[in-house]
Amino acid sequence: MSDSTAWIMDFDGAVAAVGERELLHLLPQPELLEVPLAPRHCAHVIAWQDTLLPVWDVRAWLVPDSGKTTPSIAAIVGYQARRRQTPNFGTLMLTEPPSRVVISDAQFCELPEDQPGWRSIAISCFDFNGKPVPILDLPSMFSQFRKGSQAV
Amino acid sequence: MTSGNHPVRHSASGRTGYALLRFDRTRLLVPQAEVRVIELTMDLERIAPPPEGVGWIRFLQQRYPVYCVTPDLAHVTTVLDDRPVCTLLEASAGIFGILCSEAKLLKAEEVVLHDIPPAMAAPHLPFRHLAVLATDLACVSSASRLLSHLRTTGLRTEKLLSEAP
Repeated sequence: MSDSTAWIMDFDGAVAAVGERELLHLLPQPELLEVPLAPRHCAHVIAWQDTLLPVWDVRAWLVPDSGKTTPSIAAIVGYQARRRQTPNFGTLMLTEPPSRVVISDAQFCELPEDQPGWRSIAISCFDFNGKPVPILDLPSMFSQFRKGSQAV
Repeated sequence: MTSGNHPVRHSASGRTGYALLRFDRTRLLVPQAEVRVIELTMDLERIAPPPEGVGWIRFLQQRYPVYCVTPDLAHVTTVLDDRPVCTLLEASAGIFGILCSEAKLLKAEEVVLHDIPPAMAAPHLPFRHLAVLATDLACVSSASRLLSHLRTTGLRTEKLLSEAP
């Protein structure tokens, strides 16, 4: 049985995690630039180190008719679609700073059933303090266009 | 997978510079080579407008159909507030005018292009690149892409009609 380290993130009430090495940087109160005609869950970019990064709103994906949220922290994440590929970057908007936790294989559990939107953006799930915490599939989230969670 | 995060080169049509067209909060860049003229909306002829259009603008012994779009780039048949400028664009299907809040010319070196991130690259988007201008974001399009997009939002004109007045 092996242990891993993850970052637990709060998306305005929806909680998920990314791998320890996937979180690169935190930016408080970033300036979001709106992209017209983009899907609601990915409607902005931010300027970061001479690049433009897409901003994923997990809450908007899970609850398509939810009101506008005001997450205040941008989490810059890095991911590789395949091993040895150049990493790409994206942004997740958080409502609170993330928490670092150590998890073991024994904590594996099923995805939350009350929000089907997790199925297409999570690769696994673990139990933390009695609650399921999906692990985000960053390459899938950032490398393909999705209309909205109702469409999957 | 596209690189997504890294600046890209200008296309051949953009090397001579861009025209920045603003529609309220939305900014589009089109190659300067596709801009025929920038006129004032007050010169718009509104009597008997073209189908789906808001009027006509005269240029070099012809008059061309003029359209108006919302910040979401949906075409409307009324002249919206804050559209004082009409930019005449040349698409492969013909010449048409579009009402703008603002139109100005930029040198190519003022514009750094970035690919649209794959997560937001809907197939119908009328732009394939983004650019940051000071603190604002602009979407890099072309006259033909914009016209094609307008047709997806209800513009049914198959062929642009220009008329000798």
